Amino acid sequence: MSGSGDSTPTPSRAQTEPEFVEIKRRLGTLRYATDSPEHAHITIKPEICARCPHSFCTYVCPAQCYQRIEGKLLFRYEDCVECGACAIACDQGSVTWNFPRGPYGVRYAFG
Amino acid sequence: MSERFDAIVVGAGFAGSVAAIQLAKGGANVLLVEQGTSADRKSLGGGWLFGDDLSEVLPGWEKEMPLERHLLEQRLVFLDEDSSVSFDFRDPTWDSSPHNATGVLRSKTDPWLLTKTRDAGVHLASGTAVERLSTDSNGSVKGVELKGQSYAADVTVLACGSSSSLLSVPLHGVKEPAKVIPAGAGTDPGVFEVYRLDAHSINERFGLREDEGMALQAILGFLPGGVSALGSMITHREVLSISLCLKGLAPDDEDSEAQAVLTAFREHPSIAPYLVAGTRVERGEQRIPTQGPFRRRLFGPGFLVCGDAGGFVLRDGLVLRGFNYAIRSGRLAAETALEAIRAKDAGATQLGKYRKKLGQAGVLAEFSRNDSGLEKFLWSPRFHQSYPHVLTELMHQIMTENGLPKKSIVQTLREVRRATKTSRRALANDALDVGGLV
Repeated sequence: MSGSGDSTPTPSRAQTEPEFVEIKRRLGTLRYATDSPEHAHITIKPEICARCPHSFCTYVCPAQCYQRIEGKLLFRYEDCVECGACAIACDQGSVTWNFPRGPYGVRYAFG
Repeated sequence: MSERFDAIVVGAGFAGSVAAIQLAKGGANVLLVEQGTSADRKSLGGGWLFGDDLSEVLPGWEKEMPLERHLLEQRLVFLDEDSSVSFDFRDPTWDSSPHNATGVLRSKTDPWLLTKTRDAGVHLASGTAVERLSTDSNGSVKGVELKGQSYAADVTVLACGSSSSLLSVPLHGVKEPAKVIPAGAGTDPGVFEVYRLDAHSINERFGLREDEGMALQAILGFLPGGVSALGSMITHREVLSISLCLKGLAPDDEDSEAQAVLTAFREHPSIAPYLVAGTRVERGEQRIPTQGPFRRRLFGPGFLVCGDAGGFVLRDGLVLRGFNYAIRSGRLAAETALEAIRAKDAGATQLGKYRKKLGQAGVLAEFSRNDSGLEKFLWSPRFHQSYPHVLTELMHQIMTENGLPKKSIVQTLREVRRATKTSRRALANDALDVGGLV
């Protein structure tokens, strides 16, 4: 089933959605097949994340898969759009980046 | 149990599909591995196919391939904060076949390319991702591993896109020792959104007849210093696509900036009216190679690299082109591989002929632009930030009626230059940069 579209609101520069709503809105247009957790396609090393000076991963991920919550780095692979930004952002050696096993992961229907 | 092939192609996008078909036509036993399927695609994007590159590999493609509108109108829009100045070029000679440029949407073209590979006799493993390359003790590529099994080939053609981790493993080159490239290195963020809008509305809104299409390139002049973006809107048959390629984002800003930039582009008073009543049906992010093919590893013992994986994307401050180079590099990689297979030699020197072929075909010459004065100018803060403002300010001053007698254009230009703090020296430097090229 294709993702539910959302109509563009009447253009209004004054109206800005909170960032997390906007992200959920657009992630909602995507279709995923989620592999089981033991086959998570990206892994992190928490002991390295604990010492990370920048946490760039939390900024670059377009799907907000990386979050710092109460000092701990949490990563969820389910929303990943497989762009590779975190592979570049992590220069600490924590992120191991791969594509999901075919045909899991994000799948595009229209573009 | 391992199976042996003459060649294995990784990735069935434009580069990989073309390479696989060309290899099969040359009599090679080819395995093509693609992580997506026709129904569940991993590829994203759309744009223009220029000219006739595909006809060497797929004659009659223009009649068979599912294509979008052909390009009739090219717009260049300088977006200031709220106003804009556009240049519009319409060329009716582009209406007749073969078209100057034909629109493609990967949701339609990629499944078609997959069926053509099967028609050509390629062994296709779809819905499967290559786990790693198989190498021998010297670092020569001997094949691939997928689903826990090894598949061997004389030559492995890597058409795995801009973010693959396959190129991250140490691979021995001709002269250099092993070099590890992180997945996605040398790329900038790219966003692609698809809006559904019926064909009639598109025609009415853009002044197009049935198969005619428009490409809009936008210079986003209102971005914070150091950030540049190339925005694009394309009319497809029943869909509008919006895309952005961003440059200069700091890593601790990247995603929120990318979001903000796309929203600002989409909501700009000169862009938003075109999207009214459109339904956004998809949005994805992928990485766009920025450095061209010169800074990437294109070949080595047992392997060749083509398409985005080889950095074959032409990107300056005005254009973003990849499909044609994917096709050409894929075709030339296949030719090189066929010669190597016949010669029973897949060493680096033999496969190095790929580079020579790329040079002779004129592919590499187009990328030397990337380092030229023109490229610097087109990505410069002045082109991306000052000029949009200068142009809109100029037009505003010339065209706005305020009851006072009109000043001469020269006088207006001087005032605008002063108001936008554009020095004569800056303008002269730009003129030299650009003028020196013509």
